[in-house]
Amino acid sequence: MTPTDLPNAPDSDPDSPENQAKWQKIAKATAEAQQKLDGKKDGIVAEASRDSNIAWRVMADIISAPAVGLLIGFALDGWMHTKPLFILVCFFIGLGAGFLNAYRTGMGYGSAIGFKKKK
Amino acid sequence: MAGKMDPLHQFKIEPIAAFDVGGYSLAFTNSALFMTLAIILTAAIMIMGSARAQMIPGRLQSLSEMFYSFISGMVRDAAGEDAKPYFPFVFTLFSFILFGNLLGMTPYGFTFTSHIIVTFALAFLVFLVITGIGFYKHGLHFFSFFAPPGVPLILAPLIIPIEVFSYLARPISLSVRLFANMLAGHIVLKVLASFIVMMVGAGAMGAFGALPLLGFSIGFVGFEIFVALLQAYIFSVLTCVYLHDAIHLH
Repeated sequence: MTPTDLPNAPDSDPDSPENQAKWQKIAKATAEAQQKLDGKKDGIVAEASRDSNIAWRVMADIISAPAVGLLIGFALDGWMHTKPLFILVCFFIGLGAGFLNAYRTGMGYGSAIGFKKKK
Repeated sequence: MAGKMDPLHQFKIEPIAAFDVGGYSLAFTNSALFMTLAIILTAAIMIMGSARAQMIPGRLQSLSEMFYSFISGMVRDAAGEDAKPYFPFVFTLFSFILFGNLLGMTPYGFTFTSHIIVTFALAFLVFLVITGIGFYKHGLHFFSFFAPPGVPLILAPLIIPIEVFSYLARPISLSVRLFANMLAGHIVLKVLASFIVMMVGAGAMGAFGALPLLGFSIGFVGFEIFVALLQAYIFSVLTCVYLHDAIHLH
């Protein structure tokens, strides 16, 4: 594209029919490019990677919280000689936390504590 | 042959320079070498990119500026304007993980992010820093973080332990996500490559059959590079989200 191909080149009248046609051509090309880009965004690859990303996050959420529960329960039982009381209690609390986090991830609440929607 | 086909061999940590202190091995390993490389590469890109800054940036300057503005945008969007002072922390984390993941994709490379001890150390550092920021900003009021607003008092004995556990699970979920992604991808790549080698070794028919597999494994390398970028991004974006929680509480 040379400078004279563009509308409003220094030596041309911005409102001339010739320049108007150039503007329309640019607007059309921009709209087509945007359309192509939008189509790509929702392509099958993008969708699959987004889904697999959520799946990985949910997996990590569900595994990690019960694991922390088990560790804390194990430590508490070792300290107070109450085996297996705290292992069980903390495991189930952890499981609850894991599912709660997975639910938050899945529903798009973000990973913050509470139930506020992500901005 | 058995050693060559072992898909876990690539994760073996081997000492390069032995160094013992009081019976503990502090050897400089292949893992340490690639961590050093990751730091040198990041520093090189940023220093060389900003050394002769010009109005119309060259390739390296564009790269370093894009790198900078990408992270700064991420910190602003995910953690808010108040999180600007913590930008260097997030930037360091992101570049270290990104180059760790990408260096692992080079031939004869070593992926230090495929070791849970590395990712856990990073995630635990994030956890400590963010908890520290929370206490520094809000003092003991930080504990109100574990009581979500609007929860009936009768449910508090159940909700508060769940929230505490889910807070404590953060470093584990952060580290497991990065480690498992990198580990799984590299194992699949190695298994695919081993299949191809075995099929080619079986003769002309095998070599012909290996062609589609070769195409798939090349595509998978591309996917792994995407995962390397994505996981570095997820790790740092979650750090920003946690940072946002610590600064603003609810």
